Amino acid sequence: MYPPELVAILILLLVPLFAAVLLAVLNRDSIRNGIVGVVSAVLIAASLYLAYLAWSSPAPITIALESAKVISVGLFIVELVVALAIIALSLKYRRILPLALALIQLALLLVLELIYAESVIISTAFTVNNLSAIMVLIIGIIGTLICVYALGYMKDYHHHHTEVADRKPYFFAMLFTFLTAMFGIVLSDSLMWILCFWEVTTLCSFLLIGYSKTPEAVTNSFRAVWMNLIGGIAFTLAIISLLETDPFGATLLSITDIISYHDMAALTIPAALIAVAGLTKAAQMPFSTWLTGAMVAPTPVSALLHSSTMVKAGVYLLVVFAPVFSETAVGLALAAIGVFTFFVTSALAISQSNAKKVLAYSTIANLGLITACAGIGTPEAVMAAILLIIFHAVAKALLFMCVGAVEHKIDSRDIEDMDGLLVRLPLLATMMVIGICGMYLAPFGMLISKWAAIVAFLEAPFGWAFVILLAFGSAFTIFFWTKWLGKLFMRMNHPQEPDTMLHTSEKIAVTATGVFTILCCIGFAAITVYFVEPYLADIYAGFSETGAMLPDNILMIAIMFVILAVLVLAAHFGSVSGKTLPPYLCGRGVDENGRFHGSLGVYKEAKSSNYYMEEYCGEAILIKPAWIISILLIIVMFVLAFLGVMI
Amino acid sequence: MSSAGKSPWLLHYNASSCNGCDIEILAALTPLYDVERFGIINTGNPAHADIFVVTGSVNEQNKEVLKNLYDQIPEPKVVVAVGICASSGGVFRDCYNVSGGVDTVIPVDVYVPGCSVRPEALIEGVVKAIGVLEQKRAVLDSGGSL
Amino acid sequence: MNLILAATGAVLFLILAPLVGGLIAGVDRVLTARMQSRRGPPVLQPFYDISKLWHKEPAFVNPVEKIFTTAYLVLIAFSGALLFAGGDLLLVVFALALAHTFLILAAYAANAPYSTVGAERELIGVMVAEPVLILLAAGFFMVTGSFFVSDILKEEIPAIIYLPGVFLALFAVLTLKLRKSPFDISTSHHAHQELVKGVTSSLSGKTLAKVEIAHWYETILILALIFLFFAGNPILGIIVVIICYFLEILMDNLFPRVTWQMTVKSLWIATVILGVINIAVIGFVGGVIG
Repeated sequence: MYPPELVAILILLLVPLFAAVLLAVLNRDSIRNGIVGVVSAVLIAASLYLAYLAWSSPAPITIALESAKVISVGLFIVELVVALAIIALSLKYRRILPLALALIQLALLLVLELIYAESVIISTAFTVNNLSAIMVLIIGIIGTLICVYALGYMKDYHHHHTEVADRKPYFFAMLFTFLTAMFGIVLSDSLMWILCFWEVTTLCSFLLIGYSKTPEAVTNSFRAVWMNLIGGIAFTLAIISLLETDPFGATLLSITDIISYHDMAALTIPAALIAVAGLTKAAQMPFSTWLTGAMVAPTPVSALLHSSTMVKAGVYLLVVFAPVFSETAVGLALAAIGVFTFFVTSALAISQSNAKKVLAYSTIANLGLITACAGIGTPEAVMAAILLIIFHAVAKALLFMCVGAVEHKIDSRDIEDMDGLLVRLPLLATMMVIGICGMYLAPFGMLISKWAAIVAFLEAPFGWAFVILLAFGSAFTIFFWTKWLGKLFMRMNHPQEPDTMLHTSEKIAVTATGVFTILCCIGFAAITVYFVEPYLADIYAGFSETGAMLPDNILMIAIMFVILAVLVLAAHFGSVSGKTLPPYLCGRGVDENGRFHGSLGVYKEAKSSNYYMEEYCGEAILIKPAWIISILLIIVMFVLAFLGVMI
Repeated sequence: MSSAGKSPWLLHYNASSCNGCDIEILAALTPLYDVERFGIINTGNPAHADIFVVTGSVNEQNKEVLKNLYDQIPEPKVVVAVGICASSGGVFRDCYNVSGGVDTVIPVDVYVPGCSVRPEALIEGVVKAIGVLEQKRAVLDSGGSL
Repeated sequence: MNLILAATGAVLFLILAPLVGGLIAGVDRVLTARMQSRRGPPVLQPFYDISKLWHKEPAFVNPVEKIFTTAYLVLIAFSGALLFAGGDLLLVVFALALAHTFLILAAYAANAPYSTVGAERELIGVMVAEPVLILLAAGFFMVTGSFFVSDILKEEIPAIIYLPGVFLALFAVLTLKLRKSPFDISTSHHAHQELVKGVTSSLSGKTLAKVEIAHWYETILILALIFLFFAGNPILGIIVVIICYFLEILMDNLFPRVTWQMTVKSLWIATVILGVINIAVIGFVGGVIG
């Protein structure tokens, strides 16, 4: 009989895989709905149960498997298949760079397996600490809700994009494979295993981005794959380098053991390689373009890549290695890249009117902040990083789902076309407002986390430099979110019937995620105290509690919540008596279609669009210098790594 | 005097004035006359205004604008027709495109004749308007309607 | 922080700030008039204005304006109360940003050309001021080791000794925060404003009155931030606050035609040169001093 933890883990790993096979074979809408519904329920239940077990267990749960060796071989074969698949597709579409990188990766994998793997003993197969429990919850709940959302979305998608071949079985199979790989990354203890799942996410994202097979989608999917292959190569090299450092015990491959290694100075080079792997997956500068390109995929893919999977795998790895970074100068360089990315991409987001692109840049920016926190690596910074991961996952998933559904309703993903959305699509717009508020306003999650990050930075060496960039980046953040929010609240100058038609699956997923976002925001103190701090106490010796969340501040945040709640209630129940004035345009009247009466007798629609500041924040201006600076920072990171500079 | 009279904010609209009266209105803002002494502010925004100061006669083109601006001023409000054109149409009243004084479109409370109006007369007119404003405010405060 | 002291500070702020803030606004208008060789209105004029606005007929372009302006007022008052209760400076900054968001949303909600442009420019104003405010909180933390105003006030040595650059950067954004310049964002009562008052152009009566009162609260809040630099020496602090405000009025009258582009550039250059270098020097020299 297996212990309950193992059963839960196996459910999380195998059920989505099994579902993927079923979904690939069965192509009937009703059957698909049934499978996705049941599997989602099972996954949510299993992740809740596993999180509960992790929370109630005093020490991290570790599980040893007798058959670990066999599984290792199996996973190695999976890695080979992934590499060969990428090679085959690169050949088919004649892409040199991905092909070359995939070949290098294949060679490295063979070296790893044939030369080093013999000595590797996997004593612990799975580890469930509070961090992996949080990740499991994010993947299990947000990830599956996105899959549910995809049910309704994909129907509309093929309705709107008749030119794209309907390959829904393939699509859903990929989504669920993705979930398996993500669970694998956060639950495995050995870097060897994580590498395998890591490569699977690369392949899945590659295939999902290229779903529509349009030239743009193919180009962007290959960009995603070559950038992520660099990460994969760096990851493989990191493992080889760790095995070189400690050839006999192979304890360094265990993420629970590596962070308590006695000689951090010996780990600078693997740390830098792991940092590169994390940077590519988390789409940090200079690797950001694969994520902005990924939005050609159907929205559930974007939602999945941006919120609960893929990019979160990158920052998860970095957060796991935070204790290593905290003592080395590599960590500082990594943090510099992260906070620089936050600064630049927040500015870039100002110049975008495409809602998905704004979300993409905001994702990269927030991941930059998480990367910076992981690079700083102090307990306070890691706490901020974990909170950022949680709040970003929920709010961003919500926003992507809303934008996707809205796009199908109004046939546009341009923010300029979203004026008066609260009147036109009340449910979606309300959820969008919740998501946006959750992304940048006090007292909601992301801002609280950002606050914790500022405090953590200031207490770390050279942290002040990061706070300066953070201050400007935050100002950009306020700008681009508020102008979006403003559009949603606009009065509709021409009357429009509220549209309530929405697929049930979309409605369920969006509402559930919205409620979940609010719950997370309200429960942030509980999350901090019961989930994050025990993890930190476990990782960092001598850690008692972080100073960021003082009772006084929690009281004040609670008061802010009460104020906002009262205001929302007042808005809902308050009187609207009074005279309604027409919009002011120097005395020009408005007709029933919202057009102003011009002086020559013509009616003109007065439309004022937002500021985009292209001349300062445009992609044409910022991206190239940002690449150069970030590449220089990566070079600095490796120089510091080779010199073995410690803090 | 209630606060209505202590803080009358003006909206100035030039219907089709020759700018003679308008220049005199601006003169009233200058250091010599300084109407801000009485708390008067030239707002330029109907939503903020209490006293609607109109110069020039009304023609077919600006009728709607005048009406629109008047409607956008929340009660209590007072209209002052400044200059003889605004009061009666003046020398333009028989023009084919002129419908007459301001009172052909919106109700006028105070007429300030002159061509052009002297700042003293203008200030006198506004002070009269303040009296009307106070009366209207009293009616509204006691629950009546205008 | 001491709960009773904190509550007293907060309550005193909530009651006195609008009175003092209104008086300051009145004095401001008189001084401005005198600089322009005019007599100017009575000192109590701002209170007459509010009283009059309060009796106007309720009117709005979009009914949400009511709740958004209320939110703006309540949250500005909350931020100030938090500051005077000795609370966390960073939270004050964030609550202030939240409050301004509501004002901007109120302007967007009207979906009228002037209102929208006003909202955009007000948003630019918030964006320009935000880094300075965050750097200010960071600077105080680096000097005193605490974000709490109650701790900062206990310091013997005034923070201005360590943070002259941040102080000057704050002084620079004062123009924006007091709604003086630029003329194409500001909603001051002078003739030299544009956009029919932009951000408040669709507000009237009570909603406008709430924005005015919130502005009084904010004036006191911002002046209190200036005072904080002289925490060890209250008399000097009050003198500097008065001088700063006077200089603002003077600058406003000397440069009445500053546009928003000019403001963004000049203020961010000021922030970078003064504030950032100041923080960097402290960072390199001492890390956390306190």
